[in-house]
Amino acid sequence: MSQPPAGGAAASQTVLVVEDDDHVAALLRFLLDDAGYAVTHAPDGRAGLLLASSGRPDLIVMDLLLPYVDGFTMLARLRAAEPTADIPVLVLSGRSGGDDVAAARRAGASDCLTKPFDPDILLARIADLLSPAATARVDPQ
Amino acid sequence: MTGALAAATADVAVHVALLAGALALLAALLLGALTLLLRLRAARAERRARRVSDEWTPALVRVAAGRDSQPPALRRSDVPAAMLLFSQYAEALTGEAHRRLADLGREAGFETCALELLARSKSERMLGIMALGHIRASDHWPTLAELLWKRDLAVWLTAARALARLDPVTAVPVVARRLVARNDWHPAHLTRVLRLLPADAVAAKLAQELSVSPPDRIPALLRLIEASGSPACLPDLRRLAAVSSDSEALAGILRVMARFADPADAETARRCITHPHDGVRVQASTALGRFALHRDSALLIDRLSDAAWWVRQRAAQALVGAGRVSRADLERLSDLLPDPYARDALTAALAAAAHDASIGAEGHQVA
Repeated sequence: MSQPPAGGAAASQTVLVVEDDDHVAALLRFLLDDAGYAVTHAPDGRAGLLLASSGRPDLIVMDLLLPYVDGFTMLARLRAAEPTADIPVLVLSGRSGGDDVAAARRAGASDCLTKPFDPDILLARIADLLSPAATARVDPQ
Repeated sequence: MTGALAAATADVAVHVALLAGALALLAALLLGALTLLLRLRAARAERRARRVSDEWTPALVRVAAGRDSQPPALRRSDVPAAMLLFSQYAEALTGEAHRRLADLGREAGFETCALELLARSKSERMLGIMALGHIRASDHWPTLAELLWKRDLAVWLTAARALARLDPVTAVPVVARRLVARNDWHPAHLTRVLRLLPADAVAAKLAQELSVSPPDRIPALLRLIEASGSPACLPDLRRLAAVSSDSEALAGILRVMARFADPADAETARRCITHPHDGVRVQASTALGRFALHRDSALLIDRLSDAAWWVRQRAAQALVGAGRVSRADLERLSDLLPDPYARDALTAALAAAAHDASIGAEGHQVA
């Protein structure tokens, strides 16, 4: 089990989970909450965009197959809008094809994982994306 | 006499009408009762699923996160709902978290329950198979391997996934052998099995099968190899391409080579670009486009004058898509081509590429 980021940094960091699968969403909420992050959840792409622009989370964890607004469109809109352009996005997708991962990265994903996923790896990647060095690397498109 | 006969006929008609009305009413009442019964059953199942979810979800997520938790007491009537919920969580996880869930499932008594479900309806049987895989019940490998001989594709796929979860390495030859013997699968189904197995081992095993399979099975095998997503098959494919005279096999091999785009395969594509069979020339043109080597542009330009329009079209798409010749140069080339068919093919490919680019730009603006 990965430890929460050192120095209690996670306590002040918020993560938006955009996931339509109730089970994966429950799992992510518990994992992130347990690691010390403040978690908000959106069950579809449209709600995800609203919460991202209104709540300005420190990081977004999102699926690609989402109702109303799909993951690729959501990524493009996040990157195109000034308030959300620099939020790191970790795509957690059930689509395992290499093409999808490459397309997600082109669309602006900071990192990609496929389901089934290892919670330890997920938390390590999130901690890495939220580290000061990674935040400085995010390049809005 | 005539009046009495008319009265009797009218009586019969009234009786028939009354009887038909009564039957219709009875049928309506029966349908209504059946609908009510089904709704009550669905509502009860939904209530049970919600209660099971409320009881089990906290334990499942805690265990997945590495926290201590005991499985709730398992009521007999809750077994399918609890096992489905357990499988849904297990399906999303891998690594240590999946192992911890497997331990919880065994502790809850899912192993015995899963074996009982194998003898029930198809949906319950699939649930049992899935659970045996997730709780990593290795003792039941022979039972699951036996299910690979079932004709039902859904049961087959579930059993293959369960075996892959029990032991991915040992599962490769077992699953691959049965996979080769069937032809009713779809690549989307296969991806769900193959992603649990070591892709290189699967591709290599399937490629070995190429040399011992009858020619009519080779196209299906090549589609399987493509679905494995691993280039580990390429050495075997090169060997087969060097000796094969079957045009369908050659076209399939070139399609797989184009998928993995290893420049080491460019020589095979060059050799096949003038093959007598147009299906081979089509795939060779696509492959040369994927390898995107500048020296092959001349070969693709030659194919713009191919006798088959689909070869001309693929060659033009390959030239435009490879990006080794600039758009301006291709437009100049299009103007200079003496063959009107070649000119049409290249112009159409250039226009399609420009259209795709404009859609992409519009999509970005809308976003």
